Amino acid sequence: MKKIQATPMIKKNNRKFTNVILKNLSQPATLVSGILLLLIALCAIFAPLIAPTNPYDLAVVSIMDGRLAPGETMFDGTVAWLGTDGAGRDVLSAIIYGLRTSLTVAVCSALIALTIGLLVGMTAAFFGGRVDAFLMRIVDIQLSFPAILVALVLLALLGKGIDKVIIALAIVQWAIYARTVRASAIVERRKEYIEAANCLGLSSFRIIWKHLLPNSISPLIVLATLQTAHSISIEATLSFLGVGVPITEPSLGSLIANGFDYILSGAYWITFFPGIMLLATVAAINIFGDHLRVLLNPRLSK
Amino acid sequence: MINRAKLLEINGLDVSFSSGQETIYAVRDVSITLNPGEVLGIVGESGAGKSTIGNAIINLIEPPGKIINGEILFQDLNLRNLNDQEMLNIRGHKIGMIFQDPQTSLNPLMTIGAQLLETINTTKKLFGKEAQEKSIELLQSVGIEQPETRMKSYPHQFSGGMRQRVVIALALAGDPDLIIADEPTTALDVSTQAQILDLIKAICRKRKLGVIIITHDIGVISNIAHRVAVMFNGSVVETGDVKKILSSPDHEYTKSLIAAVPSGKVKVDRFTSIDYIEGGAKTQKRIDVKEHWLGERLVDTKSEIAISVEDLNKEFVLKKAMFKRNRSNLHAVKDVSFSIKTGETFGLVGESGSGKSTVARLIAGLLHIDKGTVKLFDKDVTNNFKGMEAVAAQRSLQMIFQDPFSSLNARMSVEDIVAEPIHYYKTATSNRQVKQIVRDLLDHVGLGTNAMIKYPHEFSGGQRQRISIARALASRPKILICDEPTSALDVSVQAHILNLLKDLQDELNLTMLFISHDLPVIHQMCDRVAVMRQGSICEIATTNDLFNAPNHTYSKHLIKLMPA
Repeated sequence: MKKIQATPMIKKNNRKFTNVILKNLSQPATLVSGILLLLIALCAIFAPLIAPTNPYDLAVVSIMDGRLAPGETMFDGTVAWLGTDGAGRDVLSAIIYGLRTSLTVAVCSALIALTIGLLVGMTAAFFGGRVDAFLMRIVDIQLSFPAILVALVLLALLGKGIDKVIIALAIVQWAIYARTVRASAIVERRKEYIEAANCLGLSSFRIIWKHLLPNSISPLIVLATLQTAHSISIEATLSFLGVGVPITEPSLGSLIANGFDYILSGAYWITFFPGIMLLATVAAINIFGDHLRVLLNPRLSK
Repeated sequence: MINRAKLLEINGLDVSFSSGQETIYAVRDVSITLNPGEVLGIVGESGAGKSTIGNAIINLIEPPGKIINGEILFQDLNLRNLNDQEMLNIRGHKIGMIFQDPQTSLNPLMTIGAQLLETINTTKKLFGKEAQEKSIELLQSVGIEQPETRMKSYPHQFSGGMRQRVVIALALAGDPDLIIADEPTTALDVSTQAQILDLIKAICRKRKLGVIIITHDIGVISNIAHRVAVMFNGSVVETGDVKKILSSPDHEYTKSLIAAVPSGKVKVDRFTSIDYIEGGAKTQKRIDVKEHWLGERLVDTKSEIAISVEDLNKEFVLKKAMFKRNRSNLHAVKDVSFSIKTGETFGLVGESGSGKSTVARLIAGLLHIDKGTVKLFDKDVTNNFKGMEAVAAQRSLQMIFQDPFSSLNARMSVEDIVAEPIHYYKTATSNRQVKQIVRDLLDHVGLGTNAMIKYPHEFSGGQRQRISIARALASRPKILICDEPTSALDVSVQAHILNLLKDLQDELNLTMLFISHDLPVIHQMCDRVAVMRQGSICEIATTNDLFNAPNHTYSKHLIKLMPA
């Protein structure tokens, strides 16, 4: 059945995008997750300025402050709002620094995986046939292993280090991007503007870069946000298992692991607060990503 | 049965859609009447509000739309006073609906028998054997053969026309007194269209039904309706007897609408008096092509024959399999040969699936040619679009596509779209010159230079088609392939685009391959025509010969079906 036709299209379209953004931002879930995300990002970027102490400065950290409960005052007079861990480090400061490591790992690995996935997916979609079949079978094989297993094996081979974790996470994730971008690029590729570009005799590179890519990238932006949240959790898991980032640069996961030994002796805060932070970060990114999808797809926003 | 009273009477109907602060009237002060046994046509272009009237009658206007004023009297019952439950007893029982697309108005997961039985159960309260008999009788009445066995078929096992027959049977299931058909034949081929219209006419006569046909196609109206209401911008501008309105329209809009309809009988040089619709004639700055960049030619070809195609063959793989007997192919193009003289307009006509578009894509090098040769200006370009010579050949040929909504890259501004071939081939000396050329081209195709900074979604279908034409011109082609360039457009816009194409051809001495399923359009545009059917050419003749004295039986059949 035909729908409303009598509306002047041009007028409506001009305002549409800003309208959708405003409408989405005015929803409480988006607003809260957006603000939370912004705060988390700012904390991570300006960690040295915000954190009350530097938990990794051995000159400041004192074993005398070990396992202080939340709200107690440390030896040097600062209040440990979230308590201290076994080595006397302020948990609040450790979380802020830990966020930094976690987010760096997640964002970097997402960007690398996105680039690889984009290249592979676009190539597969544009050339089709055997190239497509070959590349997509690699993707299938990659995706048939559990991500955490592959990451564990890779880290066992590569050793510890932030760069190694980033590499491992990128290798684990590229296939998801490749599959998604291929799907949307195949839909776009059949449209007539690609035929028109072929008719103009443009090179394959130019058609992919100027025509195919800009039109098939929007699902990928959403996927990238959701995958960032996912890689934060994978990284946390790896660090918890002790194969992730080195102990000198702890992430949220290694903080959780760090407090695990004390949790039964009543010092819940060492594990609890980093855990809450991890949860909040992942949830905020996921909710925001979900709304980003609505925002980028006008058909879903009614 | 004969009921002297009016079946349907609509008085002063207003329907509005509000979004934000704006309120738009989709239907304004519309009054129509319908008697039993009468076919009323509502005709107008897209956005005129014709479908909204149909939806208003059965109270199916989706929010934010709202009926503001007026009354809808159906058998002396004001439908606006009924609540939802009472309305359910009218819809399907007293009023049947036929929608445009038979593909989507049937449930693909149910057999058509089950769908018919379901409707009969609820509307007629008949069950078991009686319902079975009733549905077989219905299928018979809409001309479906072997209804007993066909009851067990699923919608995908029927062709488009057959599916529309089933939809009509569904609409008749409740023995309605009124049928509203919203573009019932738009998705169908000409020959199927004629059959469906005959069927609706016969049913209307036999059952003394009132029928409202909503369509954009004046041909359909003249074929079937007794009376017609012409709509423009939400209002009925003229209503009355079909013959009278079509032969001597009173209102300016009706006049220009009728003038814009391509005729299969008389060939006109340009469509006239079509300015009412697009809001008055714009003073358009046209460039002198002789002096302009557009008129400069890289290579001057002296060849007489622009396109020559020999024994073209193309098969599509429908099913891949390891063993040959399990494979199946579709022979889309079979031994097609023709040649087009420089400066000529050559038409390819045929029903959907006849392979016309495939031929165009083979010539343009968008598909791999299985067998046969394509020569452009005596140069063999068969499956060779890689070499430098072929690149030059490719630029001498451009295509205009059917769907103006998917043929433009939505993420590029109009300026970038048109300038792309100029930048890519460095055919202009400076960026300033490129900008000037784009400006001139947009002016020349009637868009105006303001269009440059906008994006494709800000334009209507006709304007987008103009952008496509400007893009094609930007690579200075000598051959233009137009693949159904106007079939997605309203008739007045179509007239404008066809005029533009003719103008360009005269100025630039373009060779055109014009593909359409629409015979009158072909008649207006082409010098010679090839009729295609199931992948092969039945007949090649000059336009005059084909329309006056067709040779092949299939051509005769097509010409006969052409609406008067």
